[in-house]
Amino acid sequence: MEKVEIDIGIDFSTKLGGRWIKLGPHSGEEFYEELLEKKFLEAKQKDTKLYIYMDGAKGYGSSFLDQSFGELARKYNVSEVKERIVFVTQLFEWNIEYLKEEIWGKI
Amino acid sequence: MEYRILKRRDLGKNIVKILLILLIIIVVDILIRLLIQQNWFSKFQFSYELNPSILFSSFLTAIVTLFAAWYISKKIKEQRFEKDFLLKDLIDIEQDICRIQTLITPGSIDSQEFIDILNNIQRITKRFKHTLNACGRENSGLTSLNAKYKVLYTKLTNTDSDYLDVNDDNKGNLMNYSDV
Repeated sequence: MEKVEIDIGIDFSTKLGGRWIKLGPHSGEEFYEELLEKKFLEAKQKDTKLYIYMDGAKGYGSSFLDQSFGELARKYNVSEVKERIVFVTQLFEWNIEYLKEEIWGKI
Repeated sequence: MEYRILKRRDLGKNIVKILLILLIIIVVDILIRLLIQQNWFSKFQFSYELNPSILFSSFLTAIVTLFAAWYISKKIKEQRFEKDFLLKDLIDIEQDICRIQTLITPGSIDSQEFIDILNNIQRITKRFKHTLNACGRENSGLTSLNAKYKVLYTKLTNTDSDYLDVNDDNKGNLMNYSDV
């Protein structure tokens, strides 16, 4: 089965923005609307995992994580999103912990 | 730029050295006075007979003393190396915090500049934790460091745009949060 994946550095941008589309490029909102939600639904339809490759970007702000992955969990339920998404990273493990504890953990 | 950790370490070393020298002088002085009082020097007699058991005992004592000196010296060097290694990481973290504090000036600051430094702090903290574990030391202090780092990360990167606006109203708070 074909893998459903997003390589953030290649498919989106190496330099990430803030929260809202109207306030700057490569925002969390833009990532969510143009890529993340679509790929999530594709993975859900195929009943497979969505692999997120993170190491191509320069770094992740808390507002970007909240407006992308946080928004996904608020819309589609935290446990389902947690189960379906697989983060692949060696550089940003702490950011994933932060996402799980401070963003998903407080929904 | 002066770093608090380096200065404290140098001062600590000098005080210990001075105290040790003073202690040795006092102990030697007391010992000499005691021996003179007891007429120890006049009672002292030399024997010119060579006893094999005494020779063997002297040789054994020398070997044991040398081994003990070597072992203690090795242990002290290892402990010193561990401390230096750990201190270097803490100094690097402090350096990065100073860089963040330098950036916090009124204006619009590109969030990526903060993110780069925060990533570096996280990398050093991870290495510090591995070093602590390798040295068999407790890492209970890391919990506090991680908690403060989390707050700092949130405050500096929770931006609607890709810039953080710093003004006279929020500058003080941001500086407080950076006092990790």
